[in-house]
Amino acid sequence: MKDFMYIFRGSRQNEEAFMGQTPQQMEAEMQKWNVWMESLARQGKLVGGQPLFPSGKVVKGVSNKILDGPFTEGKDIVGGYLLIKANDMDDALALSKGCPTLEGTDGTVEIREIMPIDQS
Amino acid sequence: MVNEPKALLDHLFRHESGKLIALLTKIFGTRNLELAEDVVQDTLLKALEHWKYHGTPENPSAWLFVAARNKALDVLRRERHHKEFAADVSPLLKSEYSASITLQQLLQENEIEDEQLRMMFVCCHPSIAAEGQVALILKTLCGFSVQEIAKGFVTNEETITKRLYRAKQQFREEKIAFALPSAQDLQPRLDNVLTAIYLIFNEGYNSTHHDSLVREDLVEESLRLGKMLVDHPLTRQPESLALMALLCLQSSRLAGRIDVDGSLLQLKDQDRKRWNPELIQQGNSYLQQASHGETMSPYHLQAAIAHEHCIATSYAETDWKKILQWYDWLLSIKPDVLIALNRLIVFGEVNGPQAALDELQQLPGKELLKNYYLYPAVLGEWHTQLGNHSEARHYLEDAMKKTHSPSEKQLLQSKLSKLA
Repeated sequence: MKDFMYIFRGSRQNEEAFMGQTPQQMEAEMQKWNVWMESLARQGKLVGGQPLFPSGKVVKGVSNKILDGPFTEGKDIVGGYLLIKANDMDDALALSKGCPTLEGTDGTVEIREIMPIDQS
Repeated sequence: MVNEPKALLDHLFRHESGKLIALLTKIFGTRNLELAEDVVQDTLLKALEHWKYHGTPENPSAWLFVAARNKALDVLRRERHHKEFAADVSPLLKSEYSASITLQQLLQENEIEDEQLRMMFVCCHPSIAAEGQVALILKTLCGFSVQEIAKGFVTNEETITKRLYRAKQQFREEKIAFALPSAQDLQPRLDNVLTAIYLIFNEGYNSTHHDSLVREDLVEESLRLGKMLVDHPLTRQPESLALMALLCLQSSRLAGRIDVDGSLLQLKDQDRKRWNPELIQQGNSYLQQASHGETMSPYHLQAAIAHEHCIATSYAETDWKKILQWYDWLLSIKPDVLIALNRLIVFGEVNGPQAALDELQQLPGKELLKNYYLYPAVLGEWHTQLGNHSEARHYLEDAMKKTHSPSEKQLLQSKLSKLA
């Protein structure tokens, strides 16, 4: 089994709308996340991960310039991430099915394999 | 809340804390038992504080569950990077995506009896010393404080703290599943649980040397735990039913043991109308159910003895011969010097005090009884009946020295005063 990361992205508008939900809407939304994550956990494939606030800061290299971000660079922002275990990329792809991010028109799940760095 | 008697609140907290600790131990995993206890402790403190100013909520139990959920969420956030929780839900509890909903699903009042039953088996895990098992049940499932357990078992708080510490160390070190044993492991595990419940009951029923509130709670808790066992198909075994019969039949006579001035009454002086008919009826029904199958456990025989007492319309009408037969049988499967002494009391009823005194000379292990007040008390009684007043006085005075119970002392005193 290999380690993968899901990176959830959505439009700034959607990410901010998420924050503005009523408690009932929020609970219904989190129910969906829970259903999907529970199925990952049942298969022993959930490692961990967290949702993120839509706003933050970005520190630029060299100049060390601090920008309000992270959305200045592109229209989509990262809403959260999850670490999972999967046999391979195809498996990781299949497991992403059911992720609530994919219900919206502009949500994306980026799937990246964790790169093991061996000792030299 | 201010106006409500403290006892009511204690009672509520006692049971709610037992439920919550069972559930939280299931959620956090048995190795984090202490974390579960902390959450419940904090929740109860918060409730005390809040209810004092805002009044008791309409559904205090639901209020406590919500408060405990919030505390649990705080604890999960604080501990998620260095602790593993119950294996099947640990990653879900560590993520903000799923922690809150998962807690909501797990920390519910449904099927709480099952969780408490599992907790009972967790507390009575064979890796934990017997004395630790009992202390642990009282602490986690019955919401007793260390002080109350120490009082209940006539020992000091330090001893109880040590027992609990050692037991919890086992929890941290061993992987103890929060589960009922499988059908093939059931018997030895169930024996442990039954023994623990029996000990809790005995402490409440027999000791007269301490706080009557703690004593009543011990009896009540043993009945509550026993009921959970007989209500579950897996643990509804003949022994469980027999123990439950014994507890019901014995506790039916509790109120009759004390007269209007609060002094202790012997069986022959008790007003049988004050025995609790409901408990007798329940006990008889459990005893009947326990009799299906081949098993004849010490609980069966003790319940049968209690049953004979309960159906006798008066002391004189008691079928002592039958009771003696039950005692003979009991002694044959459980050779115990205390049982032997109690059998001799019955033997004396059947064959007279002189025969009982003669038989006592032959009693193996009787030196073990020398510090036990009942031994000289019984000797004093027999000598009184035989008219040997100086011997009777000697033994009754000896018995006085060996009991700390004011009510027992009073009873002995009244016997002494009747001697010439």
